[in-house]
Amino acid sequence: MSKNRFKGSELLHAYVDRQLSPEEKSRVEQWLETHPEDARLVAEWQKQNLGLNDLFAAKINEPIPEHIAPSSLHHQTPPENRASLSLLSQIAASFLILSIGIAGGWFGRDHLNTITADSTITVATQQNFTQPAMEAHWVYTPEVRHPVEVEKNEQDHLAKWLSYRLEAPLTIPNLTAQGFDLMGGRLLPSGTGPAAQFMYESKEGSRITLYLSKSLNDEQTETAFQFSQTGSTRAFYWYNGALGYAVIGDIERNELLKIVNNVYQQL
Amino acid sequence: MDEFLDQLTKSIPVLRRYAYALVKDSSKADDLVQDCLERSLTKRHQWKGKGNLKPWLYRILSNIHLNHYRQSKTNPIHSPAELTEKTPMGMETDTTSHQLDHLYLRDLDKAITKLPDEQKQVLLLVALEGLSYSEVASITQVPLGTVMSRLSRARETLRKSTTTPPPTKEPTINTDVRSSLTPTIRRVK
Repeated sequence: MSKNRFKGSELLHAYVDRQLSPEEKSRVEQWLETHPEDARLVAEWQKQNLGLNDLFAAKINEPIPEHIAPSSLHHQTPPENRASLSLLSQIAASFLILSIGIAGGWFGRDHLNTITADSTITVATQQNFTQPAMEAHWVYTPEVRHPVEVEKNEQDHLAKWLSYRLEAPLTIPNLTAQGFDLMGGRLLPSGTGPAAQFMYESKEGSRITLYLSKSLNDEQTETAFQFSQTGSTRAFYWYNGALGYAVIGDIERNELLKIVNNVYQQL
Repeated sequence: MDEFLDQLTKSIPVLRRYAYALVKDSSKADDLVQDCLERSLTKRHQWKGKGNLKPWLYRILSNIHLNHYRQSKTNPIHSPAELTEKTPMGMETDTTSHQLDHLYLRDLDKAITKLPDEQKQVLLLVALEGLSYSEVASITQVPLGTVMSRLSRARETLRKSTTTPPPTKEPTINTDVRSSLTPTIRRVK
C-alpha cells in the first residue's frame, strides 16, 4: 500500500477510523496540535463512532431468533449437502463446549439457557478477553507490595520479555501526559496463551491497567473501540492485528477514553 | 469443520447488528439477515473457499437492503420502526455514560435514520463494523473516492443534527435542563 493513500480531510477520517500507518498517524497528530478546528472535528467524529457502537452494541449479545438460527439453515440448502451438514452441526456443537471452557463461565452464566449454540462461539471469540482483563485488574491493582512483577526501572527488559512471550512487538505506552506513571508489568496466563498487563498510577494513587492478549481469531483484524463496564470498573477494548487490547480503570469514561486514544496512538 | 458454515454462523451476530442499524426494526432486520443467509447459501460456490467471508456477506446484505428499499420507496422501511422502537439499543446497557449522554445518543439515533441509504451503509460499515475503506469500496461496489465522500457527508449530517437543538421542542424534556446541557456538546463556530 502506498504511503500517501489519503489526502486532505480524508486523512482526518482515516485517523478517526484508525486506518493510517504509524507515520501518517503522527503526521496527523502534529497537524491537529496546531489546527484546533480540525481537532474539534476529529473529536466529534470519534464521538460519533463511539455513539454508534453504544447504540447498537446490545444487538451482538442478543439471542439469535429461531428462524434465522443456524440449525434452520440446512433446510434451505440444496439436498445434496444435507447429510454432511447435520454432521457438521454436531462438530460445531462439540466446538462450542470447548469454547465455553476457554471463555469461562462468565458468558455462559447469563446466556447459556437462551442463546443459541453457535452465537456463543462468536461472543466468546470476540469478547472473551475483557473478563480476564478485568479480573487481572481487580487482583493486582489493590496490591501494596507486589502490584507488578517487573518494575519500571527494568522497562526495556520488560518490553523485550513480554514481546517475546506474546510473539508480537510490544511498546509500553507513556501516559505521563494523562497523569499516570508506569509502575511496571507482568506476564499472565490466558485462554489464548501468555497475556501481559502493564500498570500505571496517578499521583492520587488511582491505578489503571493495560491488558494485552493474543487474539483467538487467526485473521488480522482491527476493530473499533468497544466499551464494557462492571460495577465502577470501566474498560475499553479493541483488536489490532494479532492482539486484543483492553484499558481498564475505575475512572470516568471520558477520562478513560482520553487515555485509550493515547495508548492507541503509541502502540 | 466446514469453513464456509463456520464463518457464516460466526457472522450472524454482526450481520444482525448491521441490519438493525440500517432498518431500525428488529423483525425487518432479521428478515434481511435471513435473506442474506439464504442467498449466501445458494451462492456459496461463488466464495473462493479462502479468506474472510464477512465482507462478502456484508455485500449481499447491503444489496438486498438497497434493492428492497428501492422497491418500497413510497413506504420507506424505517418509518414504522421510528414509531414502534423509540428506545435505541444499548441505552439500558450503559446508563452511566458520562460523555455520551442520552440526549446525544437519541439525536444520533434519529439522525442515522434520516441518512440516505448509500451514506448510511458506508458510515455503518466503517464506524460500527470496523471495516477498512477499501473493503467498504468493494462491498458497496463504488470507487474509494465515493466511499470517502459518502462517509464525509454522513458525518457532517450527523454532526449538524447532534450539535444544534432540534427545531421542535421535546415535551418530555425540561427546557432548562436541556439548555444547560447543550452547550457542552455544541460546536463553537
